[in-house]
Amino acid sequence: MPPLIESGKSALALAEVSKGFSDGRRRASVLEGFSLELMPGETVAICGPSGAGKSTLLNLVSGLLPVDSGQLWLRDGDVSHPMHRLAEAARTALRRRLVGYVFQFFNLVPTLSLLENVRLPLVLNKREDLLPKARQRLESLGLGSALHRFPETLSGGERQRVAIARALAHEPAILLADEPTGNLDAQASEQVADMLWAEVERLNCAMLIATHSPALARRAQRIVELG
Amino acid sequence: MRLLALAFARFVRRTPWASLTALAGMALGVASTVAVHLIGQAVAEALDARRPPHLHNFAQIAERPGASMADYFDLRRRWRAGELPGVRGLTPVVEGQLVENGRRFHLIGADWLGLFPVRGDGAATDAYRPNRLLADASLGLAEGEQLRLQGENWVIAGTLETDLRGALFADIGNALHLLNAPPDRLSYVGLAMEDPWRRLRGWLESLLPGLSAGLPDGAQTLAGWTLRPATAQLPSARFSESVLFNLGALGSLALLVAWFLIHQACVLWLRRQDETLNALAAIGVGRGQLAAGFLLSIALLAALATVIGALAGFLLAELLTRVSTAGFEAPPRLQLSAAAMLKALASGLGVALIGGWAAFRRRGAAAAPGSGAGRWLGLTILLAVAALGLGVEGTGLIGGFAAILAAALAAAFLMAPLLRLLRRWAARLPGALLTRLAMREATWFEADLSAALGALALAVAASVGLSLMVDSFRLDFQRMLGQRLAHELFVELEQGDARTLAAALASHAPAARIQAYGRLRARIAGQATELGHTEFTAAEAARYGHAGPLQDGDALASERLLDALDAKVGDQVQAAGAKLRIVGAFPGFGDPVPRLLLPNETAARLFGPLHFDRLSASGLTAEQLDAWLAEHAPQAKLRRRGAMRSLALELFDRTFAIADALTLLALLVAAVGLGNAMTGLRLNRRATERLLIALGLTAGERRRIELIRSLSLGVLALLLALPLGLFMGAVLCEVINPRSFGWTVQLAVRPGALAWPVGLGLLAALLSGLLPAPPNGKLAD
Repeated sequence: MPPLIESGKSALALAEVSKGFSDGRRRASVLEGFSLELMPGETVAICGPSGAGKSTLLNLVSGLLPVDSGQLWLRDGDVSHPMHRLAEAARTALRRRLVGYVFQFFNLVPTLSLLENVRLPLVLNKREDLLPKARQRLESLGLGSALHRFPETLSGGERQRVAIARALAHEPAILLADEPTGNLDAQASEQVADMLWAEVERLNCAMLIATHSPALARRAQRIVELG
Repeated sequence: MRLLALAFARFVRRTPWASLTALAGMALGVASTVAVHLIGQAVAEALDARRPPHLHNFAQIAERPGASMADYFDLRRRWRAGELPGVRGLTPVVEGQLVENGRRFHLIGADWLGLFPVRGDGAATDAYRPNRLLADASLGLAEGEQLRLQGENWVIAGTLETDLRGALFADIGNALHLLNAPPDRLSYVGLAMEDPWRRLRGWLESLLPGLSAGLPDGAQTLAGWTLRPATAQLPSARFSESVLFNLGALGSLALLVAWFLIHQACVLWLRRQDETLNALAAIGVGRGQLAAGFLLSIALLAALATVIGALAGFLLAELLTRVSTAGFEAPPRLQLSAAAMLKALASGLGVALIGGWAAFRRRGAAAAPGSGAGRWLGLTILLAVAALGLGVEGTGLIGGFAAILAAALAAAFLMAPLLRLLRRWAARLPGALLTRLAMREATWFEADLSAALGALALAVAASVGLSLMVDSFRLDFQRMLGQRLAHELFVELEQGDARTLAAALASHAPAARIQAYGRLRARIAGQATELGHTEFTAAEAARYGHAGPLQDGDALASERLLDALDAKVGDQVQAAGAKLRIVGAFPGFGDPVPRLLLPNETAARLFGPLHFDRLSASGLTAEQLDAWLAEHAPQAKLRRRGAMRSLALELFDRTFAIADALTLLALLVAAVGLGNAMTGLRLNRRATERLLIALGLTAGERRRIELIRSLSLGVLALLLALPLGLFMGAVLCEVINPRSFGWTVQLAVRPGALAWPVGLGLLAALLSGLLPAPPNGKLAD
């Protein structure tokens, strides 16, 4: 076990992690012997050209993909979980509780209202006690009158802010953001970035953000180049 | 262009999952179309072969009171002189009864040379010679066998499977001789008339076997004569045609569902090519070229699906007829005809190309909903057609089924607005969040689901309507059996007189209640009718739902006869020159021939010496009667009430076996159509699925969402299917049955009758959600 995880200091640790994909005939390696540790409240930007493995890395951390080799640990209070050894069901349970995820596109469930979208992770984690807080956050974003509206009626920037509120509603230990501003104009990008950093600081959660945007990457405490 | 064609053709090969599902959808649609057509065609051919020879080429009969051969020759002279332009041919016909050695024959004589060739097989063309006859197979006579009639030997020149039981056919001279009738006697004239509907009839018959029977008869006239359709002489043929029409109409509903499925497969196929089409459009490939490429890939699939579907349809039809005609002496023979292949091609390639083109056009158009005014106009027209078909009796069977079809189409078109309406309502759904999510999704993707849901609603509605009708019919039928089978034992005699036997039995078992029955054929106001006669005590009359005994001159008429004569209870009808008062009516379900029941004394007064061929007995055991019969009438057939009841119900159920099979097929097709639509929906909600996975929803939770969504879709389909099914059931009972068979069925809505089709509809929706989905990453292959 990586020492920082063992000592309970880091929220996330990857040690010598490798991942590749096969089309049945050939195998292409995406990540090879990758290592990284994140402290609670720390923000790390993952940069690199397309195909370097940024999204793959986030998918490994969230447990959406299994690692091929190496170790991947997530810290949950006093307990450390070896994601690399867990089956899909267990990884899913950990993702539900410990991870918040923000994508570039399609961040909201179209058939749920804004409030319901934010409520969804709380229902899944049986933490509906956090709903008033989440609701307050939406109101503070100026969406108080739109709580029962459906996502299709919102602008891209508004949707992305609701998505961040949803990703953090259950107060996860780690926030993963995959090109969160990739689809927004400069002004909306700025607003979304401000919100991301403010929320991460407030919750003291670790954030791993994959981005092509140098401006966004510069906000992070550390930048890791892939590829 | 070659490169473009290659790109589209390769898509077929490189996306095996998508290609396979589209191919399976289209092939199943074609298979269903072909199977339904082949079944209808086989039954139609089997019925056509049973048409008796004297009316083989004649669609009409002409009659007038006191008609003689002189009238016939006058008619013939006018025809030869060109005064009867609508007539293509004519023949004189005489009919009469012969009783020989206690055996009754119905003799029909016609001008054999006028009919030549009698039948396509040419086997009986010398039957016009002296002392030669053709015999209906029901008489059990063999070709070459000698029959003693009026003291002379007659040779059976051939046997025929016709709908006239106990009939002998002879040249008119031979018939007049056997009937000992004067040479100028004439019963009626068979006419071949120009039929304004002939071409339409032939065209409709080849495309949708059975449906042409629903077309109105041509309104021809002949001065001084009354014209009737030849089927008035062949009530059982008319009955069979009605059965076939119902089958054909049901088949057309199945066809509609199959077309929905094929169209759905095209829409899904288009959705899967989105990426390719977008990429090609982005580099400047024109819309026309894109359409050509897309349609080429559709054509490749549809051609293959047509071949596979046609073969599968043939096998399916074989299977269905085998199951539903198990135990029949001569089950219908299936043949993959040119019309069936044409229909397969039109359904497979035609619907796929047209549906594909329509889907492609819609893809390019703005996502604005269709014109509201146009939709309401269409709906109004459909409802007007339904009202016309139901309200105007003269539209006949076609009118009844046009009403059903119009209502079905209207309901299917209502699915999209209904989904839009429910979508608004779904926003306020209570319940657990994931359940709400799943239920909302059922209303959310109107473009993906409305056509498939419409098809499912249509299939379920057809199943509900048919189930209600069959259940109501069965209830009435059971009630009728309860009345009719009042006696415990029934005896049928092939030879000998049942009244003499009844008298002997009465003296042997004085405590028993014994009743003798006879029947004969007669024409009541031109309508071929079976006359039944017995001693109509109050108990006997109660078997037909009439209170009190029948007096001399009273008669009970079947609903079918009243319908044919356009008469009602209390009216008087003419029979053998005398007037009979109709004092009651009975349903007569399953009687192919209109019936009139008379007291013995009335029948004897009008028709001369009576012949009794059946008796019933109560108050003695089957074993006692069997032992007595073995001694006194060894050839008699003894039937028990329980056995007769079981047999009647078994025959009843078997009658609807093919109809059941067709509705099941339509449901299966609709389920696959909805399954295809669900795959389209999965493509549409890939992002949501990805999001739910990222949020940590387990596979079980996601499966639950799928199931709840599928069930909600089933419930949505039922929202339309139940009222539509109730409407169909009511139309079948109140309109189709009276118009086609002449009897009425009291519509009964029992939960048991609804449970099966509703359950099947929900199961179909559930299965469509459970159909194996491609792995998430491979939704578009």
